[in-house]
Amino acid sequence: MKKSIKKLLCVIMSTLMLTLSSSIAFAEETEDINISKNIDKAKEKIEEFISTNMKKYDSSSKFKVSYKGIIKEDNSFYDYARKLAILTNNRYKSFDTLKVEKIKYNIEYGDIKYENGNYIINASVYEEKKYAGQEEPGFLCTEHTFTVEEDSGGFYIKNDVTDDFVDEYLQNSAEKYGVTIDDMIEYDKTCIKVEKSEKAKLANSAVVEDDLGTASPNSTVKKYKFSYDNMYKYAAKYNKASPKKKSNRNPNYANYDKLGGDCTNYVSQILKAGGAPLDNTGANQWYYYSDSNRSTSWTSVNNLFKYLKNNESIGPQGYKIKSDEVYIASKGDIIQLKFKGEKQYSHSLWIIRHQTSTTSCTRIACHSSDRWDEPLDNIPCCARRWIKLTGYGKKVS
Amino acid sequence: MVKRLFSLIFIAILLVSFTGCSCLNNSDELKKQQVESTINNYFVAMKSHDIDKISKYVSKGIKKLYTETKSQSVDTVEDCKAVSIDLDNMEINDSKIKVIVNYKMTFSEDYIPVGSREIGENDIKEEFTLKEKGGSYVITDMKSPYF
Repeated sequence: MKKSIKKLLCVIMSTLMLTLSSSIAFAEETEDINISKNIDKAKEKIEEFISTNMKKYDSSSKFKVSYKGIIKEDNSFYDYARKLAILTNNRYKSFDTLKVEKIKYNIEYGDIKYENGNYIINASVYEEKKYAGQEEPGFLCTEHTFTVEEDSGGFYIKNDVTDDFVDEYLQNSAEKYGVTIDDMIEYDKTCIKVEKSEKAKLANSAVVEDDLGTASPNSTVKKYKFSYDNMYKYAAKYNKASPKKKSNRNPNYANYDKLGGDCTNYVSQILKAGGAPLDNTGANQWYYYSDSNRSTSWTSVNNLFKYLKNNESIGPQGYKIKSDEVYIASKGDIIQLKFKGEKQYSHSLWIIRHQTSTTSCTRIACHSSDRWDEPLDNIPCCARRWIKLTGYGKKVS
Repeated sequence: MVKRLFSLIFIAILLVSFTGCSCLNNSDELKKQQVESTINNYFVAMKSHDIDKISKYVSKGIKKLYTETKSQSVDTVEDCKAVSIDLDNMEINDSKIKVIVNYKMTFSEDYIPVGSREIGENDIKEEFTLKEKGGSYVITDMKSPYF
């Protein structure tokens, strides 16, 4: 009898244990399913947020952005995100060159965490924008850390920390100097005015033939705009890494690959292809006739910089862009690099395309280790010197 | 008997592995010596402006570069010597070796600067790539380690 009671008790206990463990497992599973469903909902909200964000590139006067239902209106991030979109849009509608014809984007999700009732979601957002007048689209990648909260059954973006240039600048400035986004909107309006007038000046000086008055009284020197298309074609033709290459190097020039580097020789050839005539007169000279009959400015990194900066007559002309005005740079310009431990600049790059907000989207071409259409950030360096080309002087009879 | 046999086998294995290691070390040491010798000889040849001598220590590709362009960058070398060859950290990949070389190169007044090189003494840091050829090594590439 005792034995049968024991057996019965055992069976009951086992059944109880089984029921308990299966119900725990069921609860865990249900929770997992709920979290997974919630993550999907949080992602949907992120996609809605990004989609709304893309409106900031609309250069028409119709621009309107509303994050209602995406960010809670009582959250300070609501105001920040809205104003950030306005800040960007101000820029896009102020410049014809920023007219976006086509836009595509893609979101790739990274780590996801659940902390204190919030979903912390890392994501990379890839944007592909085709600007008016551009043959190929430009690319931009930004890293985001979204905080999404669940409230009363709904999901809302609580915060979005990005590595976007403007966003980072604002966050740092707010912390360091107490600069608000309203200050930044006002400041950027002034910047836009300055940039517009600078660009207009550059365009005028390049397009309108300008008598510089430095040649002999019987002749004049006029200033012309570089032909970017010709520069691009030449650069692509003589670069090992270019899909359109005809030859690794132009046989009409010496190759300095193992003799100090071919980078500045390549950049000089590109300037010549863009229309700049050789300059073999005066104090500043820039020419190549043969390896032993060339100016120091043709192949030397520092001498090319000095020449471009000082030349006001025949030949290419340029100036060093201030470090906080890199937005002035554009495709066709030059960047020089100094590496850690080096006393002077030792590398010259040619800009294929440039985007103001991020150097990772500035694409370059160079010799001696040939690179073609590579992000500037792929070359880790100590200091960058940006050189704006203003045009070239040419003698006319 | 069996114990003895096992001991003998064990000793034999130990001997073989030790000899193998020492051979490997010897082979690495030899490679280091050959690499150092090639680089130093190349510098001496550069100082003498003798393309034939230079050609002994460089690949056909580099020889072609020096002979076809008849580069004045070679003719204007006044002095050229190694400061340090980082043999302890050289990368060995099949028959290819990569090593960081710090050297001084002095150019005469006739030199037309290239890259960051100027007239007078230059401190240069480059990554040399060497390839085995006929029991010794030749230089196949020299480039800045930064780009």
